[in-house]
Amino acid sequence: MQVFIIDEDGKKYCVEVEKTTTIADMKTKIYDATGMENAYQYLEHRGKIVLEVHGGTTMDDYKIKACDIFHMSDRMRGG
Amino acid sequence: MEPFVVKENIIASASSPMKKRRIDHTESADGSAINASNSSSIGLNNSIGGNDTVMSMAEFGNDNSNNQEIDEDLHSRQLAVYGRETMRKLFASNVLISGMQGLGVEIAKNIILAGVKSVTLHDENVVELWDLSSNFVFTEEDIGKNRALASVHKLQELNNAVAVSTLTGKLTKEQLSDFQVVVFVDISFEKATEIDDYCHSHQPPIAFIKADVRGLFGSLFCDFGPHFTVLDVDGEEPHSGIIASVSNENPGFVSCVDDERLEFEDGNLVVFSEVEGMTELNDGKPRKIKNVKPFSFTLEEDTSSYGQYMKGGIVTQVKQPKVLNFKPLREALKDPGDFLLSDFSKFDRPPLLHLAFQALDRFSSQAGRFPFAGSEEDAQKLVEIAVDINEGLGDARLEDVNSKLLRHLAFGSRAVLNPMAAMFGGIVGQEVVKACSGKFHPIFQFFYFDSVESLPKEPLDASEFRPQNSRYDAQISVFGSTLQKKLEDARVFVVGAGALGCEFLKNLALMGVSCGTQGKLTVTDDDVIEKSNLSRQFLFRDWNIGQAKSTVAATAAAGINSRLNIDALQNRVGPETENVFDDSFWENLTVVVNALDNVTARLYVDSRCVYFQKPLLESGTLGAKCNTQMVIPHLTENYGASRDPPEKQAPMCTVHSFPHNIDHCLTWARSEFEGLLEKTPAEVNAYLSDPVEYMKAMRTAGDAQARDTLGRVVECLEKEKCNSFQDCITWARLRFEDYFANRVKQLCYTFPEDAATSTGAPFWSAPKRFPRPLQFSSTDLSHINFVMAASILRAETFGIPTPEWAKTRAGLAEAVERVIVPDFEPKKDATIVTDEKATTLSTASVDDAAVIDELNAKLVRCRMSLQPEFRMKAIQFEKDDDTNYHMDMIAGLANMRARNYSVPEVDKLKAKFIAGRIIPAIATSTAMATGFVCLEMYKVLDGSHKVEDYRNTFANLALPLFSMAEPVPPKVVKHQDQSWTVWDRWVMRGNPTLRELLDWLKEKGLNAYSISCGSSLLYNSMFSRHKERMNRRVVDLARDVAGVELPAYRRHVDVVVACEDDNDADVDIPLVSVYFA
Repeated sequence: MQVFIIDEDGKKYCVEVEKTTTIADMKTKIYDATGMENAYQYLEHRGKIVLEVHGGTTMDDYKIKACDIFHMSDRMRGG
Repeated sequence: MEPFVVKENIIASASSPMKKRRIDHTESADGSAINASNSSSIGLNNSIGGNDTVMSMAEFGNDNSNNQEIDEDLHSRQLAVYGRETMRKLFASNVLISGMQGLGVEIAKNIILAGVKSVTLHDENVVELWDLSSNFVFTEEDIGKNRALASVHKLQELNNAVAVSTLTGKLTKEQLSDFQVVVFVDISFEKATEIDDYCHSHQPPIAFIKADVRGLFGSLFCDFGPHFTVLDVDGEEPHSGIIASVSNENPGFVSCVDDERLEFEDGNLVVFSEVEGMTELNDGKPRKIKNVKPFSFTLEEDTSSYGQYMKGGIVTQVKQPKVLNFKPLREALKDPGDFLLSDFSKFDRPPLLHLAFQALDRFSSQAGRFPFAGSEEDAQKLVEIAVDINEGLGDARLEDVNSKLLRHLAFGSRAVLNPMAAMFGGIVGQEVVKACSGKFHPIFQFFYFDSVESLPKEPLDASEFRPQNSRYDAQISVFGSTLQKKLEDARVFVVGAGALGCEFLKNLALMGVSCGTQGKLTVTDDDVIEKSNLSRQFLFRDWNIGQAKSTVAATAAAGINSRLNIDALQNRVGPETENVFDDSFWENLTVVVNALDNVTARLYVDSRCVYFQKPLLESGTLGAKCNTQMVIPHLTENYGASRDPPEKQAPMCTVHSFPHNIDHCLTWARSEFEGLLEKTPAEVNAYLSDPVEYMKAMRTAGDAQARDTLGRVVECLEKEKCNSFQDCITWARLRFEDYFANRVKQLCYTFPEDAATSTGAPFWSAPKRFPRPLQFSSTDLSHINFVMAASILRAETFGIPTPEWAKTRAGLAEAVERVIVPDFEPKKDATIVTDEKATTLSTASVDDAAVIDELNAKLVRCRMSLQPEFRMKAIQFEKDDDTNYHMDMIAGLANMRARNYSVPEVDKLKAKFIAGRIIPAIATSTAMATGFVCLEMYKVLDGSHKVEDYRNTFANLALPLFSMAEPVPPKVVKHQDQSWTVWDRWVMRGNPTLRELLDWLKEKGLNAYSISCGSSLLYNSMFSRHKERMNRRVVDLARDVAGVELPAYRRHVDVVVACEDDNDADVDIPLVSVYFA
């Protein structure tokens, strides 16, 4: 199934995952699509930040469905 | 070249027949504006005519728009976001804002700061005590005055280039024709529909915005007309790529150099240039692309019959305007379309709020008032109305009318809360800018937001909401008097008094934070006010330039609320000021609010908040983007737990020998500026101050870098020493020759255009660009400008006055012609660094030490001929002074280099943004960020909220995009039956010995192998001599070994312990505080 990543500048990426894909693996796919390294990916999904936990949480565990949207953004240094 | 001179803004020329109303700064003793009976000589009418009709501004604007120049000092940070074209459109726009409660004044502030042509404030009602919860321009003395009249003076002060006027009577539709944008706050749907119909059908359409804040609920409606053109949908620079190959097939396949990932999207239009071989692509025609991958894409075009690709080529995105067909309010209410979400955990909220606001409007129409706080009867009535409206929607009916949510809306509906006003003020302010300019993508039709999570967790008794005849009554009607007391008694630390700091201080003053007898607000900032701050640091005025940010901001905040107990300091926050911000300071705080502009300080404050277990409310901005992060002890991770991606940097060899874009040229230019004008003079001074010590350090280093540094010092004092201004011109002219002719000739000699690498591939393959040397010409203004700036700055370093003729092109050109330029001879054995991983340009040689000695001998001889007190002046780059030639020099260096490499040049303003590393900043995203944060402040001070009640936010007002998320809980470390997080600290009492500490840890199943205090190692199991320390007190070791100086009041030392468990696995444990008294 496909899920969508929207970055902080509004750019949209499409990433292919399966129900059994782990969060870590999804982040690797997102890295391939966006160039953002896994450690710096802060992904918001339905109001929660997606966390990698030991034991490999999967799409199914997180209730991630086809066409779900993830927002990926950084912190801003200005003020 | 004349130095760039800021032109004064002229609102009206003396010859203009049209009169324009604006506020005179002269006031009589009682504070009211003077009513002058005559116009001033430049056509300004000083009266405030409350009932006067605003004169035709469109015609007036046409007369004067060409006279307006952007004040680029004032608006520099905003120009970095919007660009000049958008700013010009703003300067030509007239805006009406109707409804001057808290939200109206926030919108007005943001628009006036942005720099439109005029803002007209409208309100028919008078100031009430209730308004003082959210309107920062009102004081108790304004109660009873018309709201618009009471607002105009302070709003005009924000930006004298914007004409601020008032209307206090009933608006006629025809008056709306004077404006490009009209904003209505606190207006019924019936009236709004009527007005919007007029605006929608007006030619040209008038952009209509309706906005409301009702307690913790907000709504926004935009109608920019039936055919609104968005010129720039996201504010991003057009993306580009460097072509590696293009296939001859249907469709054509394009691969790009893997220097940088492509940032295109499927469906983008792109234009090609500089393609060799397949020159058909260079026709300038936009082409659609698809199948975009990181380094390739497909053209929607058949390239079979085109010429065969050879090399080169740049592909650049063509940004497309977008046309939006807004519906008028009358239609949109029935058919709202898709809603923009603010919180993706509340998918069902916008349709519900759409219904709820209509129900509230009907309630208000029927009852002639809004529901009362705490009135169950009113709340029930609102629910009934909502159910009734919902029943009438047919298929569009909602399955569930959330009566609990409607009850919250009812109770808070009369209140305008400052955080909501600040947040919506930022959003609406941005929509006004979009409507005026077509810059950024508008909110399409409706936007709804609620923050019911901010409410106290425990149900409140109706008596909590009772008005107390206080300026906080509106806030009390939502949160109750108990939380209000907590706000007033809070002890707050605001770190920074810049843009975020100004907005926070205004918000906190209005909320009553630290305004009680127990409350205290400390603000600190070590910076002083500059002109470029004024466009968004709105507590500052032009007469404050040069003064301390913290003191001016504190005084202004106390002017908003005289009960604010505020203390302004001018200290930086960091390890060096821990005598100021000592333990008792932090321990006595309730909450810390960051208002910083750099990550280093953020990490430091975060570490202090973790140590002292204080909530930290963090926010940051970057142009139209902002984020907030709540750091709550034991509930969330700390700021430092997340890592930010490193800033992209080009490899050193790219910047120094193989640039291919203007950023590389500017990075190089700034580096050369700093080397020539700051570092080398500083090295000269260091040598002259203590030659023996200096040379000792050089010999000790003894490497290529030391050799190069010393070489530059020698050059400065020997061959290139300047004694007259003509010497400086010679130096500058020879710098030009060296940088832009000789070095390039050497590079082309070492790597000819047809050179190959060791693998046989062309050396000059993309992204490398083959350079061409420049031939100096005294008739080329760019060349002369460079030599002028370089000469003047060189003279400055030697303390040589600049003659007036040197600042004229003719005078300088003549002097430059007299410079004798030696012919260039290439070196066969020149070394040019090409390794992308190289971090230094200096290359070692076997005789570095000998060369250093030789250079020293030269220096000794030079010193003999110098005056004993001779010193050079090191020049620090100052990006915001347009008269000091710094940016002229850097822009000159960068653009000449760009010319060498056929890279497009930039103007001085753009060069300043890049070389000056300017952080783009606008008032709207700043105000919005602080609104989000203050909505979280209620949660912190209430004290009962769980982690899932808090919200971190990312927002991009350009798109617009909102992403809200619960904070991430702190990482939990588990060991045996124990667990802990970064928030925990272990305490050991009884003044233990080292052995006792180790035993204490062993009882927890931990084997300590290393104990540190600060940066000193107190114990490591691998060092046998550390066994001698076993019987010594930990505190004595800290004093004697670590050299810790403990303040007299301190009763403990903190140690970091590295442990492993019984399976030899490392275990992270909390900081250990060892108490000795």
